[in-house]
Amino acid sequence: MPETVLLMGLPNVGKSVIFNRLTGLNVRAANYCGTTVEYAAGNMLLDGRQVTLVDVPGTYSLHATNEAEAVAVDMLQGNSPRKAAGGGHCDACPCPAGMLDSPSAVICVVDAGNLETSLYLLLQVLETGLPTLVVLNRSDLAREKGYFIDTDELSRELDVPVVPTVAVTGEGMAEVKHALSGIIPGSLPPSSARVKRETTWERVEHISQRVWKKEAEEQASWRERWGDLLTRPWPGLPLAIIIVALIFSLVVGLGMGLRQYLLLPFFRGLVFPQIELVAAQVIPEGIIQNIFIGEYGFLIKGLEWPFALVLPYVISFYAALSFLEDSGYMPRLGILLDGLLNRIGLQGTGIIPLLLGYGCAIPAILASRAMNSHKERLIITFMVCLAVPCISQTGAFIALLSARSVAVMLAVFLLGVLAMVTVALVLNRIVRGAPPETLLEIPELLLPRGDVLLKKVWLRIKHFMVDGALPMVIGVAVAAFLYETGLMVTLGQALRPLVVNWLGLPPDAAVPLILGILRRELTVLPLLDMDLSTLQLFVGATVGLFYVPCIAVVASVTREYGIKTALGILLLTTAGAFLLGGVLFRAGSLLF
Amino acid sequence: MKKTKRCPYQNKPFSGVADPSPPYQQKFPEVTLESLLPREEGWISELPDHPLMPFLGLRPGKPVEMVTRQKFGGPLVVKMNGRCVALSRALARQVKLKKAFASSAVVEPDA
Repeated sequence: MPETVLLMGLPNVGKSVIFNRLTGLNVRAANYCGTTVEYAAGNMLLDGRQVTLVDVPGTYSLHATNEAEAVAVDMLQGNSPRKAAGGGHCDACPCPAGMLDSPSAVICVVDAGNLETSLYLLLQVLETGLPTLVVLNRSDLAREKGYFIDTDELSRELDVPVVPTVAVTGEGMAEVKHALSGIIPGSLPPSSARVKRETTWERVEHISQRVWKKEAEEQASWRERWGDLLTRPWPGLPLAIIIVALIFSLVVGLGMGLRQYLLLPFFRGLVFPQIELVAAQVIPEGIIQNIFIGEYGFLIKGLEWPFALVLPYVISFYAALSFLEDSGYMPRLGILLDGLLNRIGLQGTGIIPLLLGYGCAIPAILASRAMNSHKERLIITFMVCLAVPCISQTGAFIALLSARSVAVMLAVFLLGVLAMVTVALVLNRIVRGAPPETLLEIPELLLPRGDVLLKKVWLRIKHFMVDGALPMVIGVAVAAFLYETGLMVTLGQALRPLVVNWLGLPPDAAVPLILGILRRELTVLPLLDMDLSTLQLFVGATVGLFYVPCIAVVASVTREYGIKTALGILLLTTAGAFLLGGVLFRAGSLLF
Repeated sequence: MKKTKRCPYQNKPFSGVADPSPPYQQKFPEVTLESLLPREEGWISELPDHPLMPFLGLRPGKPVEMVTRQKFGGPLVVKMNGRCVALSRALARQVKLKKAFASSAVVEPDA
């Protein structure tokens, strides 16, 4: 069995970046506290031996005052968190049972920009007696601020190897591997040989004073000045509006550009004629051929919908989101809006999972684990499931509405926001729990690195291909089958009272309601070719937005909160969608 | 008539005696962190028992500067040793500190 090494440290010191560098895997990293909410494990080769590295969620101490810290303590003591906390999920590698049972060593990441708090955790880790390697990360930021940490002195003081690194550039990673191979076989004196001392702030400050060396006068860098400006209500709030508007126009503009001038011409001009040519020759005319290249032909729509209509927005959205994540702006936006979000029962940092939700609801639900209370998590999950369209659905909305009526598109999004606020207000009233209490560190403002951003966007595109595009193609295949075999007509008849009489949509609109269970954007895309009136577009889009979140989201809600909550969300979204759709249709019919 | 000094932050009059702590604490009045205005500074003298505070740099004796006070009843942003921390007003009210530059800002003559 490979040896296990735990990677520990404060939140937001770059553990995940180091983990990715050492294992060659790609776990999510960003510039705010709590990006890693579950541990990930990966293998690395060390002098020909296989070693399992575990990325432990960031903790300030080992006092086990919250769930993340309890997991960290359990892991140090050799209890698998799956047993201990019932949570924990390892999707980076297939981990054999018992793999996490007994760590052989710890890599403790110390933040050069936040020495004292890091040292406190380090001293606590040393108390456990496990062989420990200290990685002093972000040493570049310390240098920029005119001081440095004397690693030799620190190493002497604590009797542990210390390696300075800059994880984002990869500086020092070879040295980390080298030093790690030196401590794993237990070449360091075992814990009894080291003097065990209690961890106190006095001791931390004593060590800190010895190793912290000033080099030059501190000068406020542009990052610091802007970091401050963006945090103050003035000019922070007006700038926030400008930034959000810029991001929005960038996402929509870039996405539309890619779609209109690159991907649609590529598929419609080059790919589809070839496919139709070949399919017409290979497959005899009739139902089978139509399933492939007919009305819902899944070789046509199955390529056009995911890759020409949705993919452009996946690219533009994640480019913008990755920039926001790595810059450290998101917590600042959260702080600016904290007072407002408090009124719906959330902390300002709730804005982070909500924004992630505009990409996909699943990472949003996972990210909500970083919130302080169960109540806040529940509010965020309901908001995201009810009315935050994922990026695929947004792409579908733009495809459906932008050419016909921008006003309808804005109205649908506005309706979504209103519904989110309403559901949050109601939940804030009925769910028991203490009101949110904000206390968090604001990370430094950083200029994201181009190569890191490109990699993040690429990873998310890959993720979309597997988890997004593939189910979409299957959905289109199902639609093609239903359509060509005439089952769709039967289905339309069965759902006629709901679809035609109550919602005022054509009978064919029963299809998106069935497909929508599979994927969120499939509630919208089939409406594209139905030649709907403006009111029908509005009703159809609204039903699509509020309708059940996709099956994968329901599964992850069940996993996180249990079947009752998942059923509650299903009921709320379905009932909400049909109620609102019917009311809008009637109100609209009266007005126009 | 003898003039009395009153604190604009409604703190009790400062006696200036019988305080065994370091010298700075004898010179400066005690206020809550919540009452600081942007750019004002103080040293932390008393903290609520909150598990996270010491790790964010809020520890007794540490200097702290108010950076900004958010709108809509939002949190306060304070800076300690280069680290920025946002904390709710309710929490900030429980943090006591000895305020620096007390002379003109805090103690003023009262009729």
